[in-house]
Amino acid sequence: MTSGEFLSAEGIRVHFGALTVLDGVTFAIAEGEAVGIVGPNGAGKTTLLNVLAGSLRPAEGVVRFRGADVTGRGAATRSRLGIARSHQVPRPFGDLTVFENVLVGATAGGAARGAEARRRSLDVLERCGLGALANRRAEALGLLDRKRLEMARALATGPAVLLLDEIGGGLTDAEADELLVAVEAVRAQGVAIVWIEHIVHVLVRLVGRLVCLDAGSVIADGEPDVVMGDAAVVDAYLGRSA
Amino acid sequence: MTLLRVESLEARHGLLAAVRGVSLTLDAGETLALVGANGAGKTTLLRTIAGAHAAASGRVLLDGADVTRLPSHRRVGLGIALVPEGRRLFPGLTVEENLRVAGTRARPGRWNLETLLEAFPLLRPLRRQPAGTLSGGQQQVAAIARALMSNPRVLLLDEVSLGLAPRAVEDVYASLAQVLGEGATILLVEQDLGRALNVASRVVCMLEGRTVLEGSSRELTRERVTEAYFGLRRAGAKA
Repeated sequence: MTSGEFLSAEGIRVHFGALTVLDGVTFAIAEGEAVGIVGPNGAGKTTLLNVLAGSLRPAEGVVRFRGADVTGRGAATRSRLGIARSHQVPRPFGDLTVFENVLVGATAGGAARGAEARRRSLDVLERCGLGALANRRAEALGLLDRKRLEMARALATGPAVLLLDEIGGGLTDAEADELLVAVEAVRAQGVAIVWIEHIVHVLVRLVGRLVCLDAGSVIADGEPDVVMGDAAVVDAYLGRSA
Repeated sequence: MTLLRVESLEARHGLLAAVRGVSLTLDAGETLALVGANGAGKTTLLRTIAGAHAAASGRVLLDGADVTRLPSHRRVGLGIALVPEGRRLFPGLTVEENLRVAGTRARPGRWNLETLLEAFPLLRPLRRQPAGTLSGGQQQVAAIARALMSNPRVLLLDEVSLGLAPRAVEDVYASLAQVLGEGATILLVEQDLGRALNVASRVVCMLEGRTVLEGSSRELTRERVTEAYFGLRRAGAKA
């Protein structure tokens, strides 16, 4: 399979005023593939995720999903098409229960209704390890469970691709292990994953491929060991070696 | 002689534990560099030492005195000064006014407006200019001078080269060399490892709120720091 046929971004340019944040990024993933995106602060990782999710329209370039040009489609439409994303800072509806939060995702854009929406929500809660907390108010959750809920809300839309933005930050080692189990379970069901993460040692336990961005450009793309051993990648994080 | 001691320090941002049981010491006259990826807790650690962020637990000791619960202005008076990330000058005040404001809590010492303008000659022609009109590099030098106005015993520097053009970074480090030559005690956060190894006698690497590597700049190799920086040895061990 050519990876470009599933979700791809070609020649993406994004400017914030005079600053070029993405400078001709081309990136593609295959159906069911798990890809990690790394890069130093300000590299353009979240901006790329926003372009893929449809919450930011690029100045130039094309986003294709299952062969169709979706560049002009907004986030709500892409969600209905099967592209879901989580945000860096989880912001659940605090006064709704965990179940109700997920139900919002399940019914978004008419994805599911009635008994089907409830069944889907409960299924997603179990897959994300939140089954026992279904009736708890979201604002009472700890950090790990908020991150699980953030992922669960995205999964409830029934996506073919899940875009994860730094869900591993701030967790203990044991919590990160639990989160990995949940993400792995999602991938095992055939959902493709694009995961931005600063915590590289957690990321490389799940993904088979890493893409490194620096200053708005892809500087490495390949197997995690190779990418993290690439001198240009190390230089991007730690400055040029003497 | 240990001037600054941090003991099992913890600091949080809401639910997130940003600094998790960090302990370190800084000897008088020593320069220690903190490196680590974004989100490792470096800035929060510096801000907690300076009193700009509350410690959840643990202690900060300056010359043996516990300052953990003191507000930041009291710590400035005792000799801890922070040059914050992003410089944070008062943009509507002139360079001189920015320095004079910082002098209100000054300890006795060699630094005052005149000695600072002498030490940082690029600031002299800018002294009557609003700080907000300065270039990034000029602002950074002004921010360092502002911190020095209080005659600190420990200077905390947070990413002084962040967002600056390479030439401006050179100017800032040339200014810093002046301070280092005075035998200052400095804890600095620096993303550029080569620069950190050059200016500091010791380097501490942080990962996810903890210190994961510490050593003298002479001993540490780029490979060892890289491994600690990304936590890849731990990943390998678990596999």
